[in-house]
Amino acid sequence: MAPTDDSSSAQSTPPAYVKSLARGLDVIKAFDSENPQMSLADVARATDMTRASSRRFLLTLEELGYVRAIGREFVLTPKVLEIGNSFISTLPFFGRVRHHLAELSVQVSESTSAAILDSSDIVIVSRVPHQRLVSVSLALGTRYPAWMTATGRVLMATLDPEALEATLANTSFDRRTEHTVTDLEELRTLIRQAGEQGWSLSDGEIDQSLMTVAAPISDGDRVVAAINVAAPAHRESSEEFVARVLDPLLATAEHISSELDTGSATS
Amino acid sequence: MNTPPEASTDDSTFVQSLARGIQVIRAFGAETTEMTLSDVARATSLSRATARRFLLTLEELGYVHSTGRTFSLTPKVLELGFSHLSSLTLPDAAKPHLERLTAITGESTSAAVLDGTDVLYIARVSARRIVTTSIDVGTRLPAYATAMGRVFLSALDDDDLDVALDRSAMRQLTPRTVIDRDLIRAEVERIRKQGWALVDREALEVGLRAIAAPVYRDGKVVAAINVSASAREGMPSSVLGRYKEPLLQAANALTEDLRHLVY
Repeated sequence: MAPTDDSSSAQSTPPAYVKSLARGLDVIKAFDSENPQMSLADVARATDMTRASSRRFLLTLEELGYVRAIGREFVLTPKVLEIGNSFISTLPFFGRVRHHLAELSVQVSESTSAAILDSSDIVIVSRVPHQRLVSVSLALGTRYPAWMTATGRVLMATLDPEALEATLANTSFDRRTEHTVTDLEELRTLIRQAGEQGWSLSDGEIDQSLMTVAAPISDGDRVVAAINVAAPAHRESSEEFVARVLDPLLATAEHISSELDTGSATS
Repeated sequence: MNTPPEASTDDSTFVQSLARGIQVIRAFGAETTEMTLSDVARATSLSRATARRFLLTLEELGYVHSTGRTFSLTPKVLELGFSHLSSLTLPDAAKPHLERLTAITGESTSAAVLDGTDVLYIARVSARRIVTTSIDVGTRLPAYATAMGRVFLSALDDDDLDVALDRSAMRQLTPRTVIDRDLIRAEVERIRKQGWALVDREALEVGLRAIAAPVYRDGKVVAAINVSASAREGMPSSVLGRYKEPLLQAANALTEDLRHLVY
């Protein structure tokens, strides 16, 4: 695992492949919540590069405004968010979902979020934290296995049967809590139900202490995302939770969907 | 004074391919959700051949999805620092700027927001030699008697300033505290013009001097940052004036950072 020089190209990669782009992006990826501030040596270790290479990438990123040096260490600057925002702003519901999520959050006094399906994961693309849930940090871009979330089941219900089976076949059903449903037949039933009733509930499956209910939003042609309400599991039963938040959730989902439908029809 | 470890940037260290690759990603957006090779080449001013190499590399890495003729971004792009930074808060964002400012000035630095008639400290970096002040994150001080507080007051119009002063219950906190309204109004007028505030031992008995500047978001003052020092015997209050430039630079850099923060 000797670090290779930047100019050397691996045999297996196609000739068009720009290796230094791949490595530079790896340097950005090396920073995370566990390693928000790193020395040159840390970055070299995390990316399996020489110190000289990682230094060139860090200085380039600094020059571009994506990295800042603090003493002998480096941090990402908030300008890095622009890179991810390029993706977020290509979503069809970009700019329309958040204020609806904020209204819903006020209405039900819980945190709300929106997620999309990316192969077998859901990815959080918008969220409105409620103060009561400050401890639940839900960063945008966070991924969860789709099959164990209400949001994921709602979205998987829109897949055609072959795509659904292919996704399920690709999944390892690792249990997170004693409530995680890992039986394939039971999951198929839950996903089918989510499609039939237009919503889904997940109770303590990702995290013992969390309940989530989700509903899809559509642009008139297809389901583009799902929105959800999350609440601590200890305060009420799942029946009470659903009774309390389902109608506002469905009304919000319908409202967003009709806006997207109108938006696409007039554009 | 802020060169990163082991030297400065020059042309030979700059990795052009990284800059261009990021430029290709950022060419996508609300109006350009899907692009052809020609679209990308046009948007980035790269040749078609170069744009193609970058798109194919990004596709290979999973950041770009291609449907034959058109390209689009994938959610994997969010792994490029986005997930990590999207939960960044104002105190988190302020911290690196305060650390830098403390490194430059050798003095303690702080950030605060306005809470009612108080400034509320949300971040602080202590200079090593200062051990005596009781200021920490969570500390409140009356806005009218502090440099950061006066930065907030100077953002108010005259009517709102009067209301704020009415609610402030001003009193002589130290022998130097200015409680005369006309004097405060004159000081506020001066801060509006010069863009920074200097206060000399008006809030705390221990004798703290501070120079403060505003941090903006969406055109509003959302925070103030300061450089503060204990008033040492024989030290003129103007000594803090030499921190003005680095302070204003830090305030502007933080303002720029806040533009990118996700709500």
